[in-house]
Amino acid sequence: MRSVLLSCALFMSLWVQGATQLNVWHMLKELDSDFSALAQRFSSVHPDISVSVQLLPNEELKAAVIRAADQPTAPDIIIISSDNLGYAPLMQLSELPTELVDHKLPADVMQALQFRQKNYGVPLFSGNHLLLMYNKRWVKQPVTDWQQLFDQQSLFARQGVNTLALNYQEPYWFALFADLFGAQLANHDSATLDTAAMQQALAFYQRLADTGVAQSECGYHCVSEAFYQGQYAYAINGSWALADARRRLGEDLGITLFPSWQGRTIKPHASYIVMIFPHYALGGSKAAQIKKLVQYFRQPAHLQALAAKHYLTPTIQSPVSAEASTDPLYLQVQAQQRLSQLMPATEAMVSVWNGMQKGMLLHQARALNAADAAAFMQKTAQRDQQLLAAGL
Amino acid sequence: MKIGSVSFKHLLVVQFVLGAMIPTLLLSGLLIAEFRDIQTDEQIKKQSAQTEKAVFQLAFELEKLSLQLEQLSLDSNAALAASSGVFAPSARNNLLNIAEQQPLASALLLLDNKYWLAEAVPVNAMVLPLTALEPALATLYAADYTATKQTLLLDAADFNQLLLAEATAPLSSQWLVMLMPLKLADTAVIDPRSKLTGALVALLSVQQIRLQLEHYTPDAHLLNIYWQDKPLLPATSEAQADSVITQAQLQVPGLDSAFTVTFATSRAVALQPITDLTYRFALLTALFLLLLLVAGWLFVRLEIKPIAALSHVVERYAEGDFSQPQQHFPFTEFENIAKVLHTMALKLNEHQQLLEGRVQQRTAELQRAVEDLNQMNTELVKTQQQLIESEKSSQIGILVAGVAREITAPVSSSVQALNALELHNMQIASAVKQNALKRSVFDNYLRDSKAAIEQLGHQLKRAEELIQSFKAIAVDQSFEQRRNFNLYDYLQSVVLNLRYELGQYQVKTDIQGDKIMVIQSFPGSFSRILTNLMLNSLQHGFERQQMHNIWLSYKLLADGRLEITYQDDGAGMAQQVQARIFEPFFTTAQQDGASGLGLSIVYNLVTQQLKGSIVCHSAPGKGTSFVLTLPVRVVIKPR
Repeated sequence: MRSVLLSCALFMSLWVQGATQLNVWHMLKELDSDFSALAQRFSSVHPDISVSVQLLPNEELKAAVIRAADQPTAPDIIIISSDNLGYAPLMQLSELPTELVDHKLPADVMQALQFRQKNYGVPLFSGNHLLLMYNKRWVKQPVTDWQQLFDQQSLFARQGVNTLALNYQEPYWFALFADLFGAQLANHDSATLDTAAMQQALAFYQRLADTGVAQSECGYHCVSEAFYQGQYAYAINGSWALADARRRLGEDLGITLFPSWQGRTIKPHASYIVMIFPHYALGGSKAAQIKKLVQYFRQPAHLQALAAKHYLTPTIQSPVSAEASTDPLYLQVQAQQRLSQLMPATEAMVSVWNGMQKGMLLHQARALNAADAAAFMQKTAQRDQQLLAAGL
Repeated sequence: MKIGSVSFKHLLVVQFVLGAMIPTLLLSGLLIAEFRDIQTDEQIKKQSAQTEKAVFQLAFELEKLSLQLEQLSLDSNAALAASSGVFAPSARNNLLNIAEQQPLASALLLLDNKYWLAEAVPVNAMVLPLTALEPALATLYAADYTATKQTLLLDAADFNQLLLAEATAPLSSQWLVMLMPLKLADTAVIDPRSKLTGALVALLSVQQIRLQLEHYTPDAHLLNIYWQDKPLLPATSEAQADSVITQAQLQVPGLDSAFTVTFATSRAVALQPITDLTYRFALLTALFLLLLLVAGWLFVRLEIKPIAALSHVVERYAEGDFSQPQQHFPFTEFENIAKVLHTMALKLNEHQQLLEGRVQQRTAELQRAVEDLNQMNTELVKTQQQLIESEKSSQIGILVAGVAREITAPVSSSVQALNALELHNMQIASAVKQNALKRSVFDNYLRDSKAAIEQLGHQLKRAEELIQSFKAIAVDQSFEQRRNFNLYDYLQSVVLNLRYELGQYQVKTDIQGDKIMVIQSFPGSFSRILTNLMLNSLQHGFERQQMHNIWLSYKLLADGRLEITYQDDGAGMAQQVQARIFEPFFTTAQQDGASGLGLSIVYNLVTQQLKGSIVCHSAPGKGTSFVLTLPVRVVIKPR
């Protein structure tokens, strides 16, 4: 409702002034002020184009875009993670014209930016994945194996500190542990959740809560504010939160690779931050203005500034600053990024999260055992994929 | 308990506490009793109102839940959530919000039109068996875009296991089901172009409704919930005998007829607030009293402190410490007392010093007087001894004179008889020699000589008796040795010895007592006592021209002592004279040459020599008597 009112107000204002209004919606809370500032600078360079930047939570953003796809109030540009390209049909995304496609990108990256071999996303940054942070006040030597974390739990408890802040009920966090046991979420545009590896992951995830290493009620506040306040020794949070964590914890903040378990390592699910264009915006009347804005945002200097500030990796490289290349945190992010796996932009991939969450919650609630929970995940994911394929 | 042993402090505390406690307790008891009476009916009414209020509140919550579900069902995102997983998070958040506000709903479900459970809160409900719901859903879905919200009552025991796992048995298997159709329309108006995508379902356990009602009515016991006269809850315990049964109608949105809820309110429970209040009041009263006790103790301590200090001051004064400076006290009264005490102490000090001076002076004077007295006494004792010795000499003189007088008469008579006899003898001898003796002369000679011899013999015997008597007295007075003597004979001999003195008066003596009794004592002392008493009667009590009597009697008392009573019928004496008769040198006839030692000697002999006592009875004109009580050893007992 708020966005509708805002859009109406802007529309009326621009109608009076005769300027073109571009609506940009995004999900990156940490970059909201930077995007707004950049948009404002763009508008000052292009006075005939007014840009409205609107921040929405990820799930709400997706639903709102899909709902508004055929509405006049629909956004012109969305800045979102690349795996959401799987919603391309529902969001009525514009296929990128050639001039917006960066053909120099590696093939796997190109694949992650494509839905059914068509380019829909203009990449801004890579490195959108989860990281293992720790507070040096409590951790002198970060663990390399999950068993060490289990062992150290009682030590931390004696110090009045929780061990690991984990957004426990979010499937994106659970996906880390699914990967630890080799569970592949989707393959060849099909959900592959009903596996023994998934069952092992569910059991391991449950063990984290049962042993007190993690708390099942831990949420977003836990991985950010509580961790910043020193209540947790370790926290798993997204790379998008790194700048905030650094600002709050200062030199106490450390980043380390995810621990291994019985020789297996975690490859966090990663994506690109991309610009996409719903409601076939690039084929509409504002296509030229949109392209100008895209070009402006993708200027290396702009991307580099934002990347340096938020420990992101710009997709268009300028000469890397000395500071960025030697910052230990940045180097750790890079190291973890190299060990990450890009999520494919498929309908199956975007369909797994709902089922995965319900399955893990049912398992946590002891309503289903691991096998039934995995089966439930699969069934739900398949149904969501079918609905997605069928459209609204 | 003696009053004197009670601490003044304790008394004050008791007074303070009782003074506060008794009115408080009386007033409290009265108020509580009044309050209890007034509140009893009010509490019953209040309980009844509470049950009605609880039912209204629950009805309101059910209505609110229904409205919230209806509002959500109108949200197109919810309708879309039934047909797309993209909208699931939004729908789940909405369901969570409602569930958080409405704990009455055991589960909130979002189903698509193919009975697929798209979302459920709590998450357990995602695996809820929907068989029991399907007929109602089928009916709803059959209505398609014309479907409206429905409420129905289901007997679905399957739901219990998953959704009421933590509830205690016995459970009701009745469930209240609210169904809201989810419709998706391109326009604001629902019309045949609209699409029914699914349904929102709220599952409310009758068990949960019961718990909620019980939560709202902690003081009432919910007996059962009826719908169309059918009990929805398993049989519960019967109401207690003292319970008040109330009924209330619970309106359920969408349901044709209301639930009838029956409550039982125990009178005891209803009155519990009053009881609690009573206890609370009692506790407060106790605390208040405790406070008073403490305050009383503090006050009394404050009051007693100056008293104790004052007592200490007084003690020091009592110990003679008049030099202590004036003490100061916090209260005016004590300050005044201390001031007065201090002034008194100063004056006492002055008086004491004055008295001490006087005492010293008097003591010195007394000391001198005592010394003078001692000296005088020594001189007096000396004089007394001299006088006693003189008296003794005087009495010996009297005795010797008496002896001379008594002896003179018989001796003279004997000499005369002897001379006459010698004359007659010579006349006879001459006549014989001359042969002139005549018969008549010889007969006269014989008659005269016989008379002379008889007189001579009589006079000599008389002299012998006197001599024996004097000898006996003389011997007794000389030696003062204990010896055995016949008391009667001895007293007779004493009286006989005083025959000359008695002869100067017209006196008749009479001695009464056992005549054979022999005692062991100091007979000389007896003699001197009786002599002095008789001389005293003659000298001070008798007139020479009058006839007088002296009675002397004695007897043994039961305790073995000897009682001698001496009595005369003389002039007697006044009381003031009587009081002083045993004093040495006291006499009423000093001009007649009396020494004033006679009765004093008697007194000393009785009390010191004989270890006895003497009492005098006399009155002017009534004669005088002396009663002597003497310890004696009886050798021959009286008959």
